[in-house]
Order: sequence, then C-alpha cells, then structure tokens
Amino acid sequence: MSKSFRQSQSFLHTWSGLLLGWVLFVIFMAGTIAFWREGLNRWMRPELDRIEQPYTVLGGAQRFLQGKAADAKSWYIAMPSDKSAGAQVYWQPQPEPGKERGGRRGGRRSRENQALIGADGLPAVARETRGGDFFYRFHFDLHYMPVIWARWLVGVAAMAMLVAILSGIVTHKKIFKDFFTLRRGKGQRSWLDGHNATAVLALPFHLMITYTGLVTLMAMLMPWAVVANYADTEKLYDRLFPHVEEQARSGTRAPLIDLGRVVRNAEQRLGGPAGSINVSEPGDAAATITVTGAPSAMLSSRAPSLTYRGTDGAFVWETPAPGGASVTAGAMIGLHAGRFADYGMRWLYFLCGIGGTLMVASGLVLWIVKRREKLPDPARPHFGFRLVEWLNIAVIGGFPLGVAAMLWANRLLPMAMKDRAEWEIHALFIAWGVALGIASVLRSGRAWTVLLGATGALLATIPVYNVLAAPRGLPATLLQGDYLLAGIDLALMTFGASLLATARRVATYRPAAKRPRKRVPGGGAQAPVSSSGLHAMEPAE
Amino acid sequence: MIVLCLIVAVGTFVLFGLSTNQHHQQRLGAKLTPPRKKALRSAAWGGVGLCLALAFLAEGAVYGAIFWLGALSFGAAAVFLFLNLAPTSADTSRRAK
Repeated sequence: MSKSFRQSQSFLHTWSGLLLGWVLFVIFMAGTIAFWREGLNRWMRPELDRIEQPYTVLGGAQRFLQGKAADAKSWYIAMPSDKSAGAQVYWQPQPEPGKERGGRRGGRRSRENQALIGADGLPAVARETRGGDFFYRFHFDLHYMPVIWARWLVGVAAMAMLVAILSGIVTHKKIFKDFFTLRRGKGQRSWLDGHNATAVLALPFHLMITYTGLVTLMAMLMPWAVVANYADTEKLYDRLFPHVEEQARSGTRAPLIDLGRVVRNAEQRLGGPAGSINVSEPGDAAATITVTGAPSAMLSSRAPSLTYRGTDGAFVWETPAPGGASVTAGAMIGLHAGRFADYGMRWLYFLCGIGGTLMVASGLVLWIVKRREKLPDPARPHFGFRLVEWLNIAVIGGFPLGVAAMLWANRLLPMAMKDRAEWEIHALFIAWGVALGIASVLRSGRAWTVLLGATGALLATIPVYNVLAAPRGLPATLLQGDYLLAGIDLALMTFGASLLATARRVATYRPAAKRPRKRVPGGGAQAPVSSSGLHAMEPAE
Repeated sequence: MIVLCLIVAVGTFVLFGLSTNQHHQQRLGAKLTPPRKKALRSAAWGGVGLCLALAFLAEGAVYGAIFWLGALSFGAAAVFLFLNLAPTSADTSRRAK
C-alpha cells in the first residue's frame, strides 16, 4: 500500500513538475531577480544620483507639479528614498466635460502625464527603461499576452508547483535522512542529490513562496467566496481597500500646504516611512492629501493611509483597522514579495530564490538524464525525449541569455530611441529566440556550452563596461558606499564567472569516450568549481 | 544579534552534518558511535532553539520567525556546500604524498 502510494506520488511529481516546469523556471527566475527590483530600478538608470535628502526631492516634486499641473484632478508622488530611482510623479488632468472618467484607480498614466524628479529636486532626464519593475511584472503578467491569460497560466503553474513540492516530499522520502549527502561523479545520483539539496535546503521558503504566490492570485483562481458574498465588486473593493470619500471640487482657489510638513506628521502617526502621496484637487479649497505608508515598514502589503485637508494640513481620516482575513491575506502577500526585508533578509530571500530556480532546472534536466539510460537507441531518441531536451536547452539556457541581453540593451540602446523601454524588452526576447535557434541547430553538448558561455561572458563584462563608459562604475559606487549598486555589479560578475566555469566544464567534459553533455545551469549560490566531482553528472550511455 | 544568529545556525548544521556517519568519518577520522550521534543531535536541536531565541530577540516575533527560517536555510546550505565540496583531510594527505 505504502509503496503504491509513493509510486503514485512519484508519477504526480514527475508530470506536474515537467509539464509546467519551463514556465516555472522563467517565473521563478524573474521573481528572484525582482527581489532587487528597487536596486535594478536605480542600476538601470545610472544617470540618477542617489537620493540623500528625500524631503528636498519631495519639495522639488511639489514645485514641479504646481508649475506643470496646478489644476490637475490629482497628483501622485512616489515618496523618494535612498533606495528609489528619483521620485516618480504622475498627474491626472481634469476630465473634459462630457467625457467619462478613466479607470477608478488613478486613471490613465500616459507618458505626457508623468515625470521623474532627481536627487537635487529638479526634473531629471534618465534613459527610458522599465528597470527592475519589468521583472516584477513579468513574474506574474509575463509579456506579449493579455494579462488575464498570463495570470491564469502563472496560477496554474503555481498550483502545479505546490503539487510537485508536496508529492516531491513523499517521492524523495530520503531527503531528510540524506540531508547532507551529495554523491559526486555518480551520474543520475548526483543530479538527484543536487535536485534534493536545492529543494530541501530551502524547503520552508519553497512552500511559503508557492503558497503565498497562490494567495496573491486567489481572487482570480477561486472567486466563489467573493461571488457568493458580494454582488457588486465596487463594494468589495471599498471593503478591502477603504479610502476617504472624494470631495467635489469647490471652484474656490486655495494654495496647497507644504507636502513635507504633512508627510512628516504622517510618518510620525504611521510610525514608519511614507510610501506614496496622493493629492486630489490640488489648488482647490476642497483639496485633500492622502499619505500611504511604505510597504517596507510592515509585513502586510496593505499599508494604511492617512488623509489630511490640503489647505491647512488638518488630519481628517485614517484607514480603519482591517479585518482578520484582510490582515492574513495582506501578510501573506507581504511575505511573498518580501518588501519588508532589509538587506540581510533580502539576501536570504534572493539565495533561496536561486535555490528554487536551480531546483526547477535540475529537476527538468533530471528527467532527461534518467531517461537517457533507458533509451533503446541513444543515437535516435524518441520525439518526447528530443522535445524535452530541446526545451531544456532553449529555456534554461535561453532565458538567462535573454536577461543578459536585456541588461546590455539597457546600456547600449541610444538614449533618444523611440520606445526605448519596450526595445530593451524586445532585446530579451530576440536573444531568447536566437537561443531557441541554437538549441535546434547544435547538438545538446555544444548548445549548452555556447548558451552558458555566452550568458556568462555577457554578464561578467557589464560591470567592466560600467567602469569604462557608464556614470557609475564599481570603484565609484564602492567609494560612495553605494552598496546596492556595487552589489548588483558584483553579483553580475559572480554569476558570469559561475556560468563561464560551468560552460567550460561542459565543453571539456569527456565521459568515457562519449560526447559531452549538460550540467547544472546558472547560479552563483553554488561554488562554480569544486573538484573533479561534477564531471560524470551525466551518466555514460 | 543577527550575525550571531547566523553563526549559531551554521554551527547547528555543522553538528547535524557531523552526526551523519559519512561526514563524521570523513571530517573527524573516527567512527560515529550511537551515544556520540545522540549527543551531537541533541546539541544541534539545542542550536535550533537558540537560533530561534536570538532571531526573536533581534527582530521581534513576526520578523524573527521569518528570519529564523531564513537563517536555518542559510546555515544548512553553507554547511552542505562545505561538507561536500571542501577537500577533506584524506584528500589533502593523498595530495601531499
């Protein structure tokens, strides 16, 4: 009985892991990168100085908006901090009479209605880029496809992941007993040990991140509780995200109070930093200022808001204490996104994310390794085998190449290029497409070498380019104590070196008179070169 | 306190690692006896508890619990990589010969 139960779980583990494994790899990797979203936002806009005086920038933002959009319907200012790339401001013009208002949350954010305020409080010119935000959105919205489809795909993949993790614990029952075992140079066994190690070492993280990931999509995946209780979604939103009643425009002009004063007061009341400021009807007597807490200040992702009168800064409203369910969901989403995490905790998140990415990758490779031994004719494998191998190379080798290409595009595309931000992303997919081609044309050993080597070389050389040609190279950032940017450069070099070492391993690997094969892709968490051990990770045919 | 917690986490997993037959033999050159295994294991579980206490002291109950699991994962990974990838005394003496 117990044996057949384990066998059934093993079947489930194999197929739930395989079918969506490639999607999972991409989601996992993008999510892992997105833990440095803010850092990458700065790294990808090297023109901007680090913000030392947030209130100076806030004052500058207010002056800019008063000059540019004094009569706007609303302003939005992302509260600047030493982690943010300037202060992003948006404004929504007064709706033209007779026209419907845009969406309920902020409306249109076209390019004409936004600006970036630099560290000196003046409008800054920076290269157009999506920055780290791209990886954050890509993590659940993917790209080139309607958001709703992407989220369903991601949601299904996450469910498959949860199934794979739970059935994996049953299947690989020895993971706890053989916790410290890594048999090197033993072909399939070594791959299995590696797969188990990346899984079990960060098991609490994997379970947490998969479960809370599903929680972020729960209203879409399991809408029944909402459908049964709320006929009107507006009402649900009001319950979930309470906000102050909007005041009608009075028509009487009145100057807006200094935002810095209001924000200082709000930060005292919130007991932490502010995250964003919304001003509705600025310049009117009915103006209100709403300050929302920064997500870094609390575990829950649903930060409370405070509202002040715009003319004299009197405190008028605050978010009511949320209900238990809302706090639970908010805390889970917060736990998933890790916005509360300081640098130490963020590194732990990041390393666990790398572990998860490697877990998915090694699981996919393991599928191939395990079946290669049983092939009736190794020279002519069946279609399913060839397909999986091709997808492995194209995705596990190709997506990192795409990311490297995107980072280079961020550095090299002309500043004035039309749709520059979008072309950075096209660069990712073009490089990925090339990888797909390479995977189709070359034999697997060659293809792995070329892709891993190219990715490694691209990543390792970006920091060099930064020193030579970009405003903020490694020596400069280290001298300024700007460890966020320095850390990104150092991490890129580490990843580059690891990938190059891995590529070299694959290229020089000669199993007893047979062709070279694949190897653990990506990942700075593992020591790239250990000893002769990794060699025979691929079983001899 | 955070650093101390990480150090304790690493130490904890060194003890856990040394309580496995293979690594004990390899690193300490002696066979692992059942009483010693038990002692190592209990000391390691003590380390898990100490790590939790330190994490709570450093970060409070909410973040402490998260940091505790993170620190344990970190300790486990560091020790795993070290025990499996660092050369053992047997390797070095072989190389010296």
